[in-house]
Amino acid sequence: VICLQSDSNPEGYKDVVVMDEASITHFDANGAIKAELRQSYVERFRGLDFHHGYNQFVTTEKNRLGIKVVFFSLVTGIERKLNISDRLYCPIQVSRAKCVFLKCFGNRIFVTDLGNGMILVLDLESGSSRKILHSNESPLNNLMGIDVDNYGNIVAATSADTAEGVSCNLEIFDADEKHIQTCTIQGIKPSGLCLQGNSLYLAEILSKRIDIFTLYDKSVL
Amino acid sequence: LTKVEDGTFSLHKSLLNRSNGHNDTNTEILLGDLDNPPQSPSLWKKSPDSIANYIENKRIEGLKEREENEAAARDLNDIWDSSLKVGAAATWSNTSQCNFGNERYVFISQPSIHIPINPSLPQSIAVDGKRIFVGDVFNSAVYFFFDTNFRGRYLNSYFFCSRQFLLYFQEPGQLAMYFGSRDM
Repeated sequence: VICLQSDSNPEGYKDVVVMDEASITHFDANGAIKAELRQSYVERFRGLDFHHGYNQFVTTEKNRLGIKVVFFSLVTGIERKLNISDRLYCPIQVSRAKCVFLKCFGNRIFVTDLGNGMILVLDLESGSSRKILHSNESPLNNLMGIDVDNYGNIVAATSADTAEGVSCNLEIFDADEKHIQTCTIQGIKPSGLCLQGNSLYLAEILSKRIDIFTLYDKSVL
Repeated sequence: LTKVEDGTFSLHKSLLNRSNGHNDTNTEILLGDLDNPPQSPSLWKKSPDSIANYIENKRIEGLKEREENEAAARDLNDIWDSSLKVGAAATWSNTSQCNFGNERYVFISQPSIHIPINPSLPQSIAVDGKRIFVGDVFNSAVYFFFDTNFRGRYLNSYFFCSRQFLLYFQEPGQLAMYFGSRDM
């Protein structure tokens, strides 16, 4: 589920787009259906975001040969597919790849690969793709959520199960896709992430709740 | 196999004539008929300058054709033209005001919002001001919260068809959630 700025009322509540197994439905702020794509190929889609520059939705699709980033419109269907996995310097294990979340930022598209524990990046400007890894090059464990702040910093939600219990590790990468820090939050296993305003929202799967964290400037506190 | 039409073996004669040259007397005897020697390609009759021009023109045409083919091939991989790329960057908008690259910032935990549905598997989350939407892949539902209050299923009359899922342990003590769709 994603929220989109309404073209008819940009200042009001946003539209809501829901992708399920059979269709992708665009609701307006009042819940009325604005558009719907109901095709058999929708069941292969994983992850959803909207690219405001291209005015198209973006998702991923995987087959035995690789992973493709798919651009589509709810009116015209699939517009274009770009293979993201065959241009990587160090190929990923396609059979293990499980793309769950996708985020567009400028000319880059970030795709979480839960199976291989990494973030795949499709750079539309250079036509290249690459991987984002932790600074110690270890895979990102239980990668379940990604978002990008207004400065281009990438936030990825991962989690670890240790003897002390579960902990959420928010892996932060700068705009150059370099890992800069890890923020650990004990007792949380995230299954989704969203940035809004100066807050970070996490869907928590163990306790069935939404955890909210607000960023404050230490110098102000 | 050579098609023989009239017994004159004209094709054989022309090929032999071209490969052996015109002064081969054996060929003349063998062929017996040189009254109608094969026509030379018209290009060979042109002056050396015109041949050079012809070659140069062909070279330029080839370059143009290659450029066109390369552009078409690039278009298959490129998404959009450069003007749209500029537009894409210019029209980018983000609702986040955070700067996670700034080390002066700290996380402050706010009161959590409980999802009063059990069992459930919350997954994707979207926020629009006071409105929060959470997808539940277990119950094929999207839950709606307003101002941190649970308001039930979003569009209760609308049926969402969630992907099937499964839970399994990757390693002892480690919980992972994967979708169970056949192609993942």
